[in-house]
Amino acid sequence: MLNKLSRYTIILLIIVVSAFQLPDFFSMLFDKKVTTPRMDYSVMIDEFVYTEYHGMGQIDYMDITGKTYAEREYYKLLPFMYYANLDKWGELPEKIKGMEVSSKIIRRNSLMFRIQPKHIDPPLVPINIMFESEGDYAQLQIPDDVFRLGNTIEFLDPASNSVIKEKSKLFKDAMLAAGFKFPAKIVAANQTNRKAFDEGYFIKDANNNVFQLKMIKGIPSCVNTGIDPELNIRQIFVSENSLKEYYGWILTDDDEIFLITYDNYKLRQIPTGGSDKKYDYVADDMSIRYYSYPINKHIQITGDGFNNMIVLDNDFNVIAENIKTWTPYDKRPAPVVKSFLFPFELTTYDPMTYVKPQIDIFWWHGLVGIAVSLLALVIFSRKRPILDYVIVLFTGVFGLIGVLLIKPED
Amino acid sequence: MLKAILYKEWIKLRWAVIVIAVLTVLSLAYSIGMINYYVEFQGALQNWLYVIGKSLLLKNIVFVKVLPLITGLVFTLIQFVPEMNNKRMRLSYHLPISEKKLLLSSVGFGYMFLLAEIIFLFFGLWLVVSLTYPAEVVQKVLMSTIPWFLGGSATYLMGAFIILEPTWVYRIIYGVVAYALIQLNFLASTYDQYKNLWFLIALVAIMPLSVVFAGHRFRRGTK
Repeated sequence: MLNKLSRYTIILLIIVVSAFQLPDFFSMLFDKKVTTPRMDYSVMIDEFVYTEYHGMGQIDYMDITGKTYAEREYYKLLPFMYYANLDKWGELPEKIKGMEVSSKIIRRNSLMFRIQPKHIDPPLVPINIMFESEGDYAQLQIPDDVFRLGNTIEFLDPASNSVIKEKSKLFKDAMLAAGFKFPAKIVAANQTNRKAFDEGYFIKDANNNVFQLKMIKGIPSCVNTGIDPELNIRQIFVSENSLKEYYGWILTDDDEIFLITYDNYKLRQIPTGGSDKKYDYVADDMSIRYYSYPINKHIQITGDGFNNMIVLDNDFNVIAENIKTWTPYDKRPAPVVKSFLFPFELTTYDPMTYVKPQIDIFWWHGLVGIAVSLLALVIFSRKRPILDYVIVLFTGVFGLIGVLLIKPED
Repeated sequence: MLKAILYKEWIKLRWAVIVIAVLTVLSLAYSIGMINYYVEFQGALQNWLYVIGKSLLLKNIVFVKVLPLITGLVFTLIQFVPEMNNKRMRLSYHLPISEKKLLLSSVGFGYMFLLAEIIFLFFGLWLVVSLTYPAEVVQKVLMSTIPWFLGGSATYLMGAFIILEPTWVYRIIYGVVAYALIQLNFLASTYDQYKNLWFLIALVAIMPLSVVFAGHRFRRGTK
């Protein structure tokens, strides 16, 4: 009994290893890069334009009506993106749609952010630093202490690895006075001193209220932002920008995105999908990019096999929408063959940057590989325990390798 | 009977156990010195920021990654290579005890020492890290070590399995399988990066059974 069990243990280990390695090896040998178009919206001709890269520096510049352009012509269609080049060539227009432009104006009035799955909940150590928001120096100064924020707020002195009691109490009292309820559920900030100024922390408390906490001249300032507690906030991204239009943006559990405006923290929702629901934003496996130029704001949702672009005017009305598709990964030749060969695949890949062993089942495609494996076993190697066939029935070629390598010992 | 067998294993292992224990203590002491050096020259706050933001500590405690691997390898070599020389294992199989019980208790006994080393290392590291860093860092670092300990355990168990296997062809095949299983535990690039750890734990938990198969093949005289 134990001898049989031990044989199947080894077979199982071989199945696990081959299910990790063989599909991966197959992809490494046969996967081909697919050229994906790079979409943009030209404010000059009010039309979507795109480039397609064909390798060896060969790039096609086109608009969606099919018209092709030379490189410089194409750059001129996108003055807000290529203003530096145009300026150098002396071809930056002085006015666009009646608006005066220069490199400086464009640079100051542009804003870009992107949310990728890996930004949402990465494995981080929950220790934070609090900048002085109104310091005496031109640059933000890195403070001498760090803090933890969870069941309470505690400032820590790294030199002695101990709690700084007075400062902790000062902040805790300020937060409680503002109506904050511990523990904090989300703590978000832009923890870098490479920014012009500091807006501190946006914190979701136990009652789902969002507070802004910052330090002004050593004194804590905690404000209830009044953001709807019913919003199901998943993550908050803070990004100080000299435009001072938005503190940052909010991602909700329902994959909605809201900008937090400087107008008393009022939220402004941006569209995360258009007419075709199939291409709506899903935070777990797509990335979204929002960028605004002096004229027009753009949203690009990129997933496996498509790019969904929505253009808004300066009052946030949708003015244009375009979906560009290409072959998604599991419809390409190599992955299709792979799914026929193998019944499933084990991977450790996780878009959120964790190492997560998981199974990816190929369902009915995989039956082909299973049938061939079973047939091979029946034809070439008879007189086996019935369990061998059951194993191959469920694990296809991986099981076949296992049972053929490890012969029954009686 | 069992007592005598375990005594034999102890005679084989004792020097290795002492050497590994000394190495562990030295490594822990060295890491304290190393961390203090970094704190001194980077400054406490800057060092904390590197440790938190750039996973610097993974570099300073690399011995926690390596020691269980070395321990597992050394123990398994010391315990089972002599037995396979001139097929001495045959003598043991003539003892009035079932071969499965014999093998599993030898492996279990050796693993006990590896586990003791792992626990020692775990608590030692806990102490070392909490001297300088806050609880959040300590927790993340300790979580990071679990896959490494699983990797060490896998090295020991798969090592025993490979050595006890009587034919070279299968030793090579098992070697490839063992390598793939062990490297699964060393994929992290930052703290506490693993999810679904139960899967890796389950893999290690079934490994002792494979040793029985090798013993069985040996007894049958498979060539």
